[in-house]
Amino acid sequence: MVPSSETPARGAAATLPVKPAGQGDYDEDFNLKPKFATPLARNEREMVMDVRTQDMEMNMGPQHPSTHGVLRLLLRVDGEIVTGAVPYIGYIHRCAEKIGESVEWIQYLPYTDRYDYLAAMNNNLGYSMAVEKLLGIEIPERAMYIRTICAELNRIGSHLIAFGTYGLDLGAFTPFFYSFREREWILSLFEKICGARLTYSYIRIGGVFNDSPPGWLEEVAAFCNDFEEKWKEYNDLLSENSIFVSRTANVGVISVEDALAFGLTGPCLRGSGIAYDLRKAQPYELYNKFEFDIPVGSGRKGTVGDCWDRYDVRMQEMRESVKIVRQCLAGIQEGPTLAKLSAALRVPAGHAYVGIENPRGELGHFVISGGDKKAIRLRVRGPSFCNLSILPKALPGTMLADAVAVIGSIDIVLGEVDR
Amino acid sequence: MASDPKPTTPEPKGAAAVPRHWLPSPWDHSLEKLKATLSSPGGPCDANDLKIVPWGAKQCEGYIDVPAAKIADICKVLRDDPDCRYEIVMCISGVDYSKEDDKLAIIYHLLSVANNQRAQIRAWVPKAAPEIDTVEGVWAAANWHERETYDFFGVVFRGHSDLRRILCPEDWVGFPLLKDYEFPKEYHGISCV
Amino acid sequence: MVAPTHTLKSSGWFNEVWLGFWTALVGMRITLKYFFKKPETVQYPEERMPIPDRYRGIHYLEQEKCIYCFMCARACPVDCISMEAVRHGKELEWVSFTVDYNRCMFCELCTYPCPKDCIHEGKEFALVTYDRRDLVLDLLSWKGMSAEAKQRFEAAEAAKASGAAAKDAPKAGAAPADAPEHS
Ligand code: SF4
Ligand code: SF4
Repeated sequence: MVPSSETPARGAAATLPVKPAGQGDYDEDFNLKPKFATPLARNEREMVMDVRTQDMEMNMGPQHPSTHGVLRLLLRVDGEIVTGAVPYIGYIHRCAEKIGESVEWIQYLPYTDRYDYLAAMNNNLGYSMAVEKLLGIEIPERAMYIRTICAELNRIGSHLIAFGTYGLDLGAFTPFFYSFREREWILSLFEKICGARLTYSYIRIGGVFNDSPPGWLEEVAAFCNDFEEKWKEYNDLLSENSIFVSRTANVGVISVEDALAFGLTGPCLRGSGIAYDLRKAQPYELYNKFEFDIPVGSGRKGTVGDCWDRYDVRMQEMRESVKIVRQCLAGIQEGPTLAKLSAALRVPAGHAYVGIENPRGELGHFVISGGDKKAIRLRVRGPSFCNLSILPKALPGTMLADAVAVIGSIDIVLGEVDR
Repeated sequence: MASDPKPTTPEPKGAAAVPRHWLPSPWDHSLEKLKATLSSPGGPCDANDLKIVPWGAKQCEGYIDVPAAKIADICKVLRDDPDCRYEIVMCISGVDYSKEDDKLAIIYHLLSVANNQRAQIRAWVPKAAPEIDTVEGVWAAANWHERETYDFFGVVFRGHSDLRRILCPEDWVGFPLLKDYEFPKEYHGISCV
Repeated sequence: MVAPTHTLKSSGWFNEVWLGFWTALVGMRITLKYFFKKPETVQYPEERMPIPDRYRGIHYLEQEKCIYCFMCARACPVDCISMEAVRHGKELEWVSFTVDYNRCMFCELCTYPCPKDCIHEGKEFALVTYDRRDLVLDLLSWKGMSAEAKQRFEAAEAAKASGAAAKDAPKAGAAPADAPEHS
């Protein structure tokens, strides 16, 4: 159907877009503009003339530890300075959308765990809410509370990974252990409520699978108390650390316009200074009952929208999540946890898009049903996918070592990028 | 930007039975207003080209059908008009509706941060030769979404800067999310069955 | 002592050195605090973390309750449950009930639709083999018929036979008269 000439030829170098000269935004802090413009202009000419150039193209990944998965970045470097970047993704593409069309509604639930495996509860929630919208059912209140608790705990767990591995990327080894210590507690909480540590499949269409076991809510409360203490230590360990700040402040600045144009959501968008959080702006489930703040990038250590800001937004968000969990624990009542649904679920024909706030941004599920047991189309809008697409814009102009800082600050999960 | 709840949706029998979920939420852009904006004098298209598919029990969410030929202009208006200001394209999804109609739908989900509202527009392209203009010039994020749609549906986005497969391998044959796609028997000697 | 705040742009060289020194000290104070505490880690094969009751591990089947209804197999998203049995009236003669752990993702979707509540996920998780084929586990604790089922079956058969015999009895009385003629 598509003529093969439409498909550009295979081969990395030929498809590397050459940036027009003078588009580097980073001259104020780095004074790179003349350096950046000249080699590229020369490079363009030399590529046309097919002679050896001085810029080097090299692959970062797919097996690079700081790409957080199997991401391959084709970098063009002029000495130490990145002048172009092209991400290559799809290494762990598992056809989630195709599978969604061939399994039944409830059977798709375990697959949602597997795109953002660090925040599987949120993925379950997003998918369930989309199908529930089509079904038009009301969820019991207790189920909503448990969902919110789980989603927020999972957000903390996911941000803890972001915090720990970001330190690890930049050479701070210790915070990683501390972050995993707290995450371990979260995982064991999840293990108690649903039996799995990573791929929960717990939040389901119509509610949650099981009610919380006795004593679970008290343990969540204990975790919240403990976490607030530990959170301060994280800040002392990493956020304020001089080396860390030098590595992240003023690095990888993403302007508001870029952030919006590239469809960034979540902490990346808020790091650029826009207080937009779906939980506040378009509250779903119970979020309009709770009081919490939306942390935004302040430019406290450098420029608004730099790596440190994105990192800091995540750190602050953890505390906000604890606030939300506390309010849930105060408000939760006894009651049923699952709406009445028939076993062989038939979803009325129609289509629904539901976006929820995943730890990484807006996770959208667009489901189309033909009134059958299976979906006609199941589209997943992964936040990491869109957040990653800014790399070709954000990387040029940074130092090679800072590329790691930028990638880490965007906090991608390749499972979700590739789906 | 609260839109009036269900302004034109024909009331289904037993209106009380319509669940809350099937009504537009306060942040869904009123379809009438959206249509008025797009078809205003000097706008990209006139009112006859736009078809409102209202909210309701039949398909849950309402949307506007827009002419595929003018998609880039329409998107530009959607981004820049003070009433719309859709700065973010949330996702561009292809859907194969060839069972009902030999067409693919290209669906644009838009989000406005400034106005805190959402909208959904659709353009239809024939399945035999799916081609549409790129909106990469309007939203940079469209680049990857269009590549993905090309990858899965074979929709060619005219004017796209870098139209390659994105998730499937570069030498993959066929467009997997089309309804008449046949699974390959093997890929580079790896059995696929 | 007041912790200095970070201002990268304006800080002089000495300030930066002091900052680096101070923030490193702050971090070290925290690590030192934990140095004297009990470690959080456990030495895995010897010590183990407690496994909660709801843990989703390798399945176990209460075979005597199972009615061979395929509900679990149908619910499984990856089709990894397969079973085979022969029905003798009400009783079952089991041939196999396998779960393919190459594919199983421990999602527990198979346990909810079971009408007899007889398939569960247990606490066992370490599934290590040298060969992939060993990952197809048979959950049956016995093959064929259980002792009780056999008894019931035999009793039923006997009852049937005697019932049939009782029914046939009048005929049987008449039959021998004809039989020799036919034979
Ligand atoms: S746990 Fe899930 S994958 Fe495994 S057998 Fe049960 S339904 Fe199938
Ligand atoms: S659903 Fe339960 S009773 Fe039916 S075959 Fe499976 S284990 Fe047996």
